[in-house]
Amino acid sequence: MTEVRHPQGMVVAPEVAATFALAIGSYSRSLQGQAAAVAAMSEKVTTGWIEGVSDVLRALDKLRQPVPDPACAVDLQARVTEIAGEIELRLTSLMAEVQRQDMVRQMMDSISGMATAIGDLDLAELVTSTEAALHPRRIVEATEAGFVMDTQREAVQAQPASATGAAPDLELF
Amino acid sequence: MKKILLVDDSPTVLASMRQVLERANYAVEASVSPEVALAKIGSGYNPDLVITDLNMPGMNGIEFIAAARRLPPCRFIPILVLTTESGQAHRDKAKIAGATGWLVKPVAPEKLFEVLRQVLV
Repeated sequence: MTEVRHPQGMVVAPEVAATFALAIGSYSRSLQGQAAAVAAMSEKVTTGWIEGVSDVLRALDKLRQPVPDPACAVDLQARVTEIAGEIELRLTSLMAEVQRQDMVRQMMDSISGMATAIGDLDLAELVTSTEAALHPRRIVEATEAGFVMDTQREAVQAQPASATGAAPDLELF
Repeated sequence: MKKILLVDDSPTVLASMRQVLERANYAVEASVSPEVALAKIGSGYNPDLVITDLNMPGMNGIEFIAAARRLPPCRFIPILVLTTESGQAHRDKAKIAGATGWLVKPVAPEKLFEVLRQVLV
């Protein structure tokens, strides 16, 4: 069997090396899943803003179109009110995009926490036992146990959203 | 005019929600932390409704709800959770702490107004 050596020269027991390989694999998959969730959410936010701006511009274009009878002030007022209402509704709906953007921030905080935790590991200690070699897996478990949004949790667990039995978006107790 | 206290550690979320709620004729107070919100309530502010985030540094939303419920102005008013979390375990904890309802971000303004009409009777 090939001897596994720690960079500082010490020999690492095969079971410890195997445990570490599995744990770091779990960490890596979790990080990849979370990064993918961030990318998907960022794209959704950008798309939301672009669609919102496009809708508002389309509504403004309607204001520029000639009115059938400019002499009829009531019709004109009704038309302006209707288009202004459309614009207002679309602009206020962008509140949801701000919330999605905040979700991206929280996801990035979680990724940052995981990266910091792996950076803080003591390499010499990692090879002393299988328990110590499990540290990267413990980081993933700690992330899952904390306040991690569900989108993120799904990425951590590498599970499709439909498999989690999603609860309703609105519930009054 | 009904008074709404918003609690969220994201200034952008607070700003966007304030904008939307004020246009709908609600008087809004915003706090970037539960501690500041509790201090506001403790110093005599009487909201008709509280909307709080869950995941915040320091005191979390569930701890905030429990602490707010102990203050006389918040004993009987609706407290809604607006969060990215949708897990049942967190919902149950929030309910036990005294939450009135649970909304998952992102929430569209129409949906929010519908809930406000239901709880602010």
